[in-house]
Amino acid sequence: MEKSKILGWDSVYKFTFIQMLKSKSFKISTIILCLLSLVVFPIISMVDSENKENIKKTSIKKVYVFDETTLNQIDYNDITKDMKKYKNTEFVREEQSFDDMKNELIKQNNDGAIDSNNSILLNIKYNENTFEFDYSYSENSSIKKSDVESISEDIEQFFQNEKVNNVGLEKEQSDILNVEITTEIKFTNDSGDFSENSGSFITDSEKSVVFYIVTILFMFIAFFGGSVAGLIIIEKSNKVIEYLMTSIKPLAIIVGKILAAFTSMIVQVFSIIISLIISIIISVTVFDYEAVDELNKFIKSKFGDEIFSNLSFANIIVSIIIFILGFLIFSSIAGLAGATVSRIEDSAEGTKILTFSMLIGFYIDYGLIVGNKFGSGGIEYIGYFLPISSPFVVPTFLLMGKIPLWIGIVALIILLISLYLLFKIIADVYESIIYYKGTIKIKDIINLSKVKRKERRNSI
Amino acid sequence: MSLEIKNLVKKYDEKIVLNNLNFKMDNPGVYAILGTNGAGKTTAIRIILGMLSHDEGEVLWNGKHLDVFKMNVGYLAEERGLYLKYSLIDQILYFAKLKRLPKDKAMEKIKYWAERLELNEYIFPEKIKGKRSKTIVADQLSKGNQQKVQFLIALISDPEFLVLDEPFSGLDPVNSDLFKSIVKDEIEKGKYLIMSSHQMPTIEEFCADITILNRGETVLTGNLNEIKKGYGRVNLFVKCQEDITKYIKEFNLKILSQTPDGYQFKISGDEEAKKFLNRITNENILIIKFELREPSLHEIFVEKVGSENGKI
Repeated sequence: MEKSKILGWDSVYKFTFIQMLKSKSFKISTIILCLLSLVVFPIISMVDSENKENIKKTSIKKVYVFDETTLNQIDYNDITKDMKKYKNTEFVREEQSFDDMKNELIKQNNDGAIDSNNSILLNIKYNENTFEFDYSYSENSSIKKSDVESISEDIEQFFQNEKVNNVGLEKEQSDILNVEITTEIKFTNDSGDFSENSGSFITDSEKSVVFYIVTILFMFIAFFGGSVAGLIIIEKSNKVIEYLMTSIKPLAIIVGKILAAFTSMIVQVFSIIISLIISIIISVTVFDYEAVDELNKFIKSKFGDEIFSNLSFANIIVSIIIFILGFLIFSSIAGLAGATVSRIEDSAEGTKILTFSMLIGFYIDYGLIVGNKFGSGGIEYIGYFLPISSPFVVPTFLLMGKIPLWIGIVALIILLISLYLLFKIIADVYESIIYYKGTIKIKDIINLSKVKRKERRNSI
Repeated sequence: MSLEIKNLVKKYDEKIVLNNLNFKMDNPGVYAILGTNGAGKTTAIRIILGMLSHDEGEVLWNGKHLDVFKMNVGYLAEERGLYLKYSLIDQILYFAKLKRLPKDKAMEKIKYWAERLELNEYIFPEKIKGKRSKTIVADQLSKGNQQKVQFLIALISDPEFLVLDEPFSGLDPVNSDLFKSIVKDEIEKGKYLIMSSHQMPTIEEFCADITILNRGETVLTGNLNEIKKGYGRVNLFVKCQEDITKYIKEFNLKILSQTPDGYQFKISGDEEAKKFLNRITNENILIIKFELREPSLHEIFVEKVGSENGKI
């Protein structure tokens, strides 16, 4: 590309960027997103603290434990270490029989040493390969049935974790039993070798993360990349383009606008990030809520420990570059589409090429994710390497460690080549179509590009 | 300095929209490109300014290819082109920056031209005490004022070559005179101007040389005075106190029009006019107006373009 063709892009960039920041749509969308980001953690902390308040109000103050098993070393008070809702609940190990205690509970319902109003009895038995947990409480007590159900689930979970440690094993044996289990599914090819994509399946819980990220990337590219079409249409329909073209080449106009749209997106993303940071600070300082820890816990509980475990510097960098290249490709298509429109009322018709290319890319990714086609038969490479689908799915999978780095690098190279070819077409046809009044089809653009190349060859 | 347009040809597929346009400006002044709607004037202007590619010919400035990106060109297009929703000062500064004008110099020029074009109240709206100064956007201006802003943008870089496409269309008489005075100043400063207009009297006022286009073809080109001389003084305007119908019949004069302001005849030349004047003078008829002149540009234009299009 000749340098003189983009001379002056910086003036276009600066002007467009400032005007984009001043535009109502940018201001409104940024304010809404920032406000949402600002309130998200304080609201979560308020809801959480309200839940905690409710949990504190658990009606059970005392649990009498009758353990008839050999696992009588378990200290049930340890539950309170992990679960704050049992902070005020005491677990008392009883030596007398459960039935005696139950009778006492009934007898002393009205008058006795046991506070029957807030206490429950737990009898643990081992019977024919089954651990049985029986809970009893007075029907006249203030204990809620839901509290008993809740504590029964927590105790069962606690018991499941603790029983291995209390069967009299050596520490080494106990450690082996407690090690983490990882599952890996591998394919073999005809010669018996393992497939390289053996670990590329995504679980159902991971699918939702993929959708969130792919949708967010799609929305940012659609909103900001697509805005380039609008900017060009405004200049063309307002006839401003005629004035610009006496001072600057068309390619410089489109380059300036694409970069301005990109920077505006960055400004909005950073505004959201800053709002989120402020939101976290507010939740920590005002509501005493450890937002980052809670978020980590939430992600781990929902999607497992390994959701972003393969995050590496190289993966992050390649993901960012792929997203930027995707943005440049779609905003270049937007610029080209915008140049084919003469009147604002024809915008929808003229920008079909952009809408279709984005939707096709998005649906290819969607189809692959829903069909869980990743790692099965090579069809996933369509999504990885097609320049209209790779900017959404490849960064997502790279960050999640679902694809090896080399796939990201190949996708990046294909995107670079596509962008170069697209810019060559734009440079060839932009000057011709920018003055054209009426509708221009993709076929016309390709033909025009061929004619221009032929003219160039003849002039050499 | 000189501007030379040599054999410019522009085709869209097989359709020729501009065929062999040739003209040359050796001295500063205004060159007029005239023609009916769709004659190819705007296409010619866009090619000269390098906005449109051409199939044949060349545009030369001082004997070299005219590159608008390397020289200082001002342009006022036929269709107004402003960002309707952006503030006036922002966009004027933007256009100035594209012309590589430093901001302080641009502000100086904006102030000068805003004063001259009476645009101060729109470009620099007064700040009301205690309130933020109100930004005025192009959409809030009348068409005439938008045109003045556009003219300001064309002049801001003090261009050596100015192209004005229909500069006076849609202007009221006061603003039209304001534009004319600025055009005259630019001519005096030694600028080269190309102007396209449908207002023939205005062209006659400014332009020494003209080209008339019709459907892309040049139907007449050259120095306006020479062209007129070529036609000779064949237009006679007469207004008398008494009825002169008898003498008109006697001389078998061809009446072009008859209005309360008198008659307009087409005559063969000076001799016929003299004889007619002597005849009515001898009859002691009071003559209010007796004017013998060359055809106006309007008449030449209508004759040339009309005959080409088969209307005359």
